Order: sequence, then C-alpha cells, then structure tokens
Amino acid sequence: MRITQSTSCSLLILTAALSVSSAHAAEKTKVALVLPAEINDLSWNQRAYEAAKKLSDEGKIEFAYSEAVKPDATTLDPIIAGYAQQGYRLIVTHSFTYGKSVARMNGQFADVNFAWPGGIGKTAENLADYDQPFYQGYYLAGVLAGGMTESGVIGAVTGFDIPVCHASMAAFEAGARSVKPDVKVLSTVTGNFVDVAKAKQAALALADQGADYFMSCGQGVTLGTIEAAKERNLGATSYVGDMSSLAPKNVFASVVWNLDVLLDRMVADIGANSFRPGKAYSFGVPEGGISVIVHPDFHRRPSAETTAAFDKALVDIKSGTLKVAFVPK
Amino acid sequence: MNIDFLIPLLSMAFVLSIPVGLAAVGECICQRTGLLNLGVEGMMLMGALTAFLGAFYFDSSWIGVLTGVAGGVSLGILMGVLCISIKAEQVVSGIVVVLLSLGLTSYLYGSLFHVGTTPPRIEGLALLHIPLLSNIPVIGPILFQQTSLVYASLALIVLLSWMLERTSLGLALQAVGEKPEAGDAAGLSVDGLRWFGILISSAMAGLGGAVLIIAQLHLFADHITAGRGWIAIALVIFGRWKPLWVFAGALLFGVVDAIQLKIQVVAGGIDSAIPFELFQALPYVITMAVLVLSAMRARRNAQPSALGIPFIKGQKH
Repeated sequence: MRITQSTSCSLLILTAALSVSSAHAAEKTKVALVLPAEINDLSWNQRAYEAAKKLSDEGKIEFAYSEAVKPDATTLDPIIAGYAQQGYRLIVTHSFTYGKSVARMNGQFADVNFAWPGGIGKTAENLADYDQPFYQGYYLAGVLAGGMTESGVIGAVTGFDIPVCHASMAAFEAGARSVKPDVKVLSTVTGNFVDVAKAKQAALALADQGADYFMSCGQGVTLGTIEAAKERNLGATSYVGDMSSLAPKNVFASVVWNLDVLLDRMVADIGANSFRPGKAYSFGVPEGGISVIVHPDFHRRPSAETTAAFDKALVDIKSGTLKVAFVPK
Repeated sequence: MNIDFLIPLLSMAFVLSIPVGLAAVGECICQRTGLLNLGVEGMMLMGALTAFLGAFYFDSSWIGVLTGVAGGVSLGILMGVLCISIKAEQVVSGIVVVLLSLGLTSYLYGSLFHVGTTPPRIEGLALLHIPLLSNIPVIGPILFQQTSLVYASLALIVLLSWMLERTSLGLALQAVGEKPEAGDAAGLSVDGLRWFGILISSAMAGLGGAVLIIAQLHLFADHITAGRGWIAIALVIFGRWKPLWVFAGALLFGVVDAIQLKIQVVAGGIDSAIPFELFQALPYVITMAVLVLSAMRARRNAQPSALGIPFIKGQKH
C-alpha cells in the first residue's frame, strides 16, 4: 500500500472507519515508514523501503510508506497521526529532522510504537532510537583503499561536516593508516547533499591534488564522486546502499546499511512485548546492521596482503577485539 | 600557484558555467520583454529529466538535447498561458512552475525507473579537440578541448546577444519591455513578443538542464539542478540585462566556485583553522561585491520599466 502526501488528507477522513476494523484484521505487525525522500534514491530511503519489503515478503509484517515527506509540522504530523489512527503498531520516522514531530506524536498516541534515527539515545516509553554506525563500515573500506592507493592520497567529499560524515571520514582514514601509515587525506565539504555537479567538481579537484581513492558522505555527493572516479578511472566508495552499478569498474567498495536486521529486531521486540521502554538500538558491523561489499569488477585487484588485512579487521570488529573509534568532530 | 594548477580549474569552471549561463541569457531576453520568468529552476530541472530520458531511450546525446529543450519549452508554454494569455501574477506563476517541476520530475523518474533496478546512466558526449586551437598553451585546454555541445552553446549565446542588441526584432523585444503601450500603438504585438521571450527563455533553461546531464553528469537524480535556475535569475540583474555581461557573470561565478573548492583542500579541508563555510560563501560574496560596484558605477537603472507588469490592451498602468 502506497500513501503519498497528496492522499494524506483523504486518508485522515477515512481513518475513523479504518481504525476500528484494522485493529483486529491481521496478525502481522503493521509497520509504517515515513521517509524524507524517494524510495529509489539507492541510499538512505531505498534501504529502508527494501528492508520493510523484505520482511513483508517473508510474511512478518504488513507495511505502508509515505515518501518525500517534509519535516514541517503541517505536513508530517497528519501523516503520522493517520498511521497511528489506522492501527499501525510501529511507525518508523526515518529522518533526524522528524525529531520534533515524533516528540509531539508519541505522547499523543501512547499505544503506538515509534522509532526515530536520532542516534543520540533520546528514547521514551514508546519511542526507540536507532543509530547509523556507518563509520565502522568506512574503517573497513579504508583498509582496502589504504592497501590499493598508489599515490598515497585519499580524497574525502562530504555534504556537511556533521557527526555521521565526520566519523565516517575519520574511520576511513584510520582504516587506511592501519595498512599504510603515511596515507594523506584531503577533504572538501560541498555544503549540499543534492548537488551532484558540485560534488563531482570537488572530487576532480581532489584528484588534481593526487587523490586516487575517494570516500564520500551524502547521496548526491556520492553520485558526484562516482562520476569523477569514472572519468579519471579512480576508485570511489558508495554510500549507505550499493551504487556500484553506476560505474562497476570504479566503485571498489560499498558501505551498506542493512535496515532489515534492525527492523526485524524491532518487530520481534514488539511481538515479545519487550519493545518498551524504548531502547537505543545500535546495529553496526558486529550486529550485521552495517556491512561492506567488496566489488569484484573494480579495475584493480587488491593484493593478498590487503585482502588479508581487510578480512582480519572484519573478524576483529565482529568479535569486538577491534573497536573503531567514533570521532564525531 | 602555478599554471598547471590553473588549467584544470579554469577548464572545469568553464564547463560548469555553461548550464547556468544558458539559462541566464535566456532569462535575460525574456525579462527584456517585460516578462519576469521565475520558473527557470523548474524549466532547467524538467529539461534535465527529459534530456536524460531522450538520451537514454533513443541512445543518442543529440536527441537528448532536443528533448531537453522540449521539456523546458513545455513549462514555458504553461508559464506563457498563465502570464500572457490569462495575465496571471508573474511571481506566483513562476513559483508554481518550479514547485510543479520539482514534484513532477521526481514522480516521473520514480515511476519510470523502479526501485531495485540498475540505476540508468547515459554515455554523454566525447570531448572534441579543435585542431590547432586546442594546442595553444593555457587557453587551448580550457576553451578548445570541450564537448561539441559546449561550442554550440557558446555560439547560441553570441547569436542571441546579437539578435537582442542589433536586430529590429531585438529592438521590438526591448520596446515592449520598456513601454508596452507605445509598442502596441506602433503596431507591435506585445503578447506575441512576450511569447517569443518566454519560449526562448524556457528553451534555453531546458538546454541548460540538458547540458548539465549530457555533458557533465550522465545520470539523473531528484532536484539535480540544485538551485542553478535561481542563480541564473540573479545573474540577469548582475549583468544589468545585457546578455554577454550576464554570461560573463556566470563565468565569474563558476570560476570563484571552482577556486573555493581548491582553496578548501589547500587550506587543510575539514581540519583547517578557517571554517569551510567561509570558502563556500566566497562565490556569493564576490557576486554581491561586483553587483554593488556595478550598480554604483551605472548611470541609469537598467531594469526594463515594464518588468513584471502584465500587459492588458487599452488599460493604463
């Protein structure tokens, strides 16, 4: 079932009737996703959609979603209220910017469960927090880049210097340094998450300074660095989802967010009545929430030492012997 | 800073100035007829999408250019109907066009390319090295090793500037922007000339979007124009409604923007003592400074007198 913003008004009118019948209709947990952008963005939103789709296909949940929902109260509050009144038991509000609305709504609908990706541990009785430890994946991608770089210069392009981006960049650098201690990291902030052309320009500028491997933070930013890597035949990392199909020879690794593992746990917790009080879910590499795909079609093969270093780091992070430092600023 | 450092920088700035420059020159001509087209951002974005679709489905960059222009013009026709045929408020109409385009492009792209499928990509155009000229040191690599689309765009800008400043059609366009009643009394079709302006403007905005996709990015993403249409409108004021000055403004903006990205890296990136936001503000600071200087030096107000005012035959303003 697909609910867009434009139909949310008519939806509200129907809610009174629907909420009565749907409460007893299905045994599957009804999950609603509220997403800040479109579900085909290859990244943040697509991963959330795919996770819900997977659980739905497995027969565990029944789900609906609203995409490209702006964070202002007049847009967002009615959408959340609509789902709450329709008997959705878990509402995943998949944007940091939704924080204020969620804080209003979780008090209003005490019998509905909410999840919000604050990553700051802000929870309530019926509100869980889930973080995005991408940095753990970027450490692993950094190990690969450090092993493969010929120039010893790595380029980082981020949309904004926010904690999730800064920590990813710092971890990428730490990973690269673990195999090549003298690696140099050059960084640029574009000031924008959607401007692909500017990110490409920033990446090309870094390439002119010698960078041959890139990490990037932000969906549009990453599309730009991948284009730059393709143009100069260099290496790029994809962000949150697998974007390697854009340039199979030039994306060496994808840091992937497996929201299905997280969502599965939340749904299981609701089923076992252990969702409350709301927890701060942290699903990184050890928990399977973050994984790294090493792309076989990349134009260079990592050396045996590099592959061994990568495998060792992966095992160590999973077992907890290696704790990747979280450097938010 | 040596010359090797400058060549890729200027070459990049030049290419990136073209989309916004095309849209700005088109907007300039439209505004000279008295019609304020605030829908440029929407028209560029629609042009970017339709160019991508044309190039993708027909496997031809040049068809992509044509469909890009057509995409821009389709919104130009809407804008014309609103502002010229039914005399609607121009500012509101322009914003409506932008909002419509933001939603429509996202919806169309989303429904044509479903989730989970391989994201589509087009091949784009190869760089064309002009014999002899491309071997000139410094200038050669910057100006004469670009895609053919870039050369065509430059030729078009010069042609349109000449048309506006040196032909009787250009004079007529200017006349209806300054004194539409006088133009009407002299037998000019005010509405017809303004239709010409909006069609040129929307075609140029669509072409700008097409160049962005076909010459540079080779893919489409939501709101890929990222505000370039709004910068184009600012550049018209910056260039004091003279097409070549408007285009020069686009080049200046592009160069400063390219330079700030380089300076950020040289200054140490995120770990620099100077906040990166300062570098990001640089293109806008320079643009504002030039704007203030040029306004101080100008002897008269260059804005077309009838800009933004709907023309209703027989009615005094």
